Amino acid sequence: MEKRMRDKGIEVSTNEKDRISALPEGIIHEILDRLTILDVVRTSVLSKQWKSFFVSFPCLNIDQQNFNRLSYHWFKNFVYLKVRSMSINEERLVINKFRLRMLYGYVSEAKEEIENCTRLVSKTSTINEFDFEIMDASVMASYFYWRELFHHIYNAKTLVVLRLSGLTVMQPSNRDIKFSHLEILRLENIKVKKESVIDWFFTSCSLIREVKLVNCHGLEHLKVCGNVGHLKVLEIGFCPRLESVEIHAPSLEKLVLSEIKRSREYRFCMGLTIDSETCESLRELTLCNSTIRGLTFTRIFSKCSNVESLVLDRCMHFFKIRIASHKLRKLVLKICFDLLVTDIEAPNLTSFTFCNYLPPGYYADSNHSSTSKCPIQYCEKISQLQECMLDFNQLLQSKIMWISLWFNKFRDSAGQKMVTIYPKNKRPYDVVVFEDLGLMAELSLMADVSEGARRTIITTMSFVDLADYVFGDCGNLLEKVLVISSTDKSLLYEA
Amino acid sequence: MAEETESTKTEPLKTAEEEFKKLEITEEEESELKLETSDHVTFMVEASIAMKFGAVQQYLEVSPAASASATAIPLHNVASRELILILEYYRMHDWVDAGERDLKEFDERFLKDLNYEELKELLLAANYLNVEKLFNFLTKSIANIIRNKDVEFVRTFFGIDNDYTPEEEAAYREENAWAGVKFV
Repeated sequence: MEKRMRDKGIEVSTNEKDRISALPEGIIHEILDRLTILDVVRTSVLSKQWKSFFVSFPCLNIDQQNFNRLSYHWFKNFVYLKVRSMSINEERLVINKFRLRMLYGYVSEAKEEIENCTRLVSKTSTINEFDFEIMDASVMASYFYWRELFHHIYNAKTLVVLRLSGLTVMQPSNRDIKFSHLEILRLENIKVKKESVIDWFFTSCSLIREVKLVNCHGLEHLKVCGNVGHLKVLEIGFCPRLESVEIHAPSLEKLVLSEIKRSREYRFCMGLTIDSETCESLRELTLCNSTIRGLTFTRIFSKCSNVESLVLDRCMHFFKIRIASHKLRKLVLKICFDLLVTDIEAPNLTSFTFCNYLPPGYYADSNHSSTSKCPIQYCEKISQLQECMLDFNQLLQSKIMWISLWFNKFRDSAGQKMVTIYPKNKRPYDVVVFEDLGLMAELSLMADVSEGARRTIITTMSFVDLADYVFGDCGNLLEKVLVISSTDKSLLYEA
Repeated sequence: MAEETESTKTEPLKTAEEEFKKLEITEEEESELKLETSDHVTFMVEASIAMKFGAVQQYLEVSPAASASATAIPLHNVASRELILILEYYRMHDWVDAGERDLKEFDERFLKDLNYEELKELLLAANYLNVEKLFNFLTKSIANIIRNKDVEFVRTFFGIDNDYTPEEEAAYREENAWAGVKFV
């Protein structure tokens, strides 16, 4: 190792040998693929060889954001030039990836250029990634029908990755068309006129591995079945009119089901059916804004014996649930306000998050009976726990007994991180941070000191990571931060 | 270049043996695969890690018997020096207890310890072995060097020989001025 380090010293000081151009073209292209089109164009000025790398670069990556500071004229010109240069070498055109991100207004202006582009792209037998995004979501209302574009897409049979955003998804004119290589499908902010187009994707893409459907207008009943033997990841998010989901995908490993945010009074209930084969293959399950009933969940989860990570975020109809699994390692319970009884039996849990901060006035009657009960019951000790994040309900906050009950649970866990979050109030510090308090015995002290704090963090994290946490998405509302470090008593940060 | 590889050849052999011994001690229970590098050093590698290598997977698909038997899987285009680095990277990333911060630190150190010649060789080896994670990490790191830099910087950084004539270059730069190419 030492020798190598010395070698390096010499290598850096000499500057004569070309260290990169000798790489195979394929690898250079992989590197170029990670850069914006502007960076790629700049590399073509490096040397003649790099110009040839640029010419043979098989990705067409047009992102309007890269052109933001340039005039539209340049942008359109670039697309035009690119299309023209492509059509010259039409017969030996190699394009693997096509990516286009544009604002709606510009798309309609450059429609012809784009159509020419996609026509050429679909003709090449090498295309494997097609990514088309129309950015301005507000125009979604005008539902952009673009028959020619879809005609070209459905012609590109070699596609492996297909991402569409901001369009109305059209049916293929010929239902026998098959995307026999498609593995990843992402549809975001789209509209479907008939649901059958989604069904068509599931039946005709036999190698499909990952499906993401976000904000799909017009989708009411989703049925995931057919040729989905390879499906591993399914993410369904914020589809405004979705009513039921039915899943028969025997190798599914990750399921994320997020519904649109609904008010609590709105008595809607999502229908979720998962067959037992799918349940058994599941490894990760996330429910967000869910209107699924607690009983339905308990029944489904009882069959999911292999789930390692479970996230329940804002599940409104959960009153009583039971989570029993020996495989479960990560559990997140967030903002399930109506949850009264949770029966958790997960001896191998390593990470646990419980955030149930109740906003004032959430219940019309403040003397709601539920809050007087202890919302979590544990059957067993959690001895494997490494990370724990707790948020105390305003009403529970007064019950120090309840808190200490919690801490007892972790006495046997060694080396864990613990974060506790207190509800908002007008006490002096928003965050109190204790660094490196390894022993849980000191927790009672913590409870006293931090009573007034909105958040209390006990951690072995470095200050940099901590800052990351505080100034990240959790820290938006913070005003004052106090850090007490046990490793260095003189360290006291106040900001 | 040839001299350089000659002189360093003996040294990785030794480290390879040490690595090999270490492996034998620590990982007794887990099933292992025998891999042979281009400079004829055999490595016993945990199956869980070796199976992350696309090339190994492919080899086993063709001849499934190799996983059980004592025959070594040949890696024709990978020298022991690179394989040690690849294994180091994957052991760290495979380690259950490694937190995000640890990995980030490790990645930074890993990259810092490489000189450009090694980086290039490692990239070639990763490409041949089809080890996606490391390959992505390396290409991303190189892309980060190029990103938002002007032509001169990249040229001097990698020591790229400019073979344009001044007139050609000026004309080409003008043509691409929109991409932020500066005039000289």
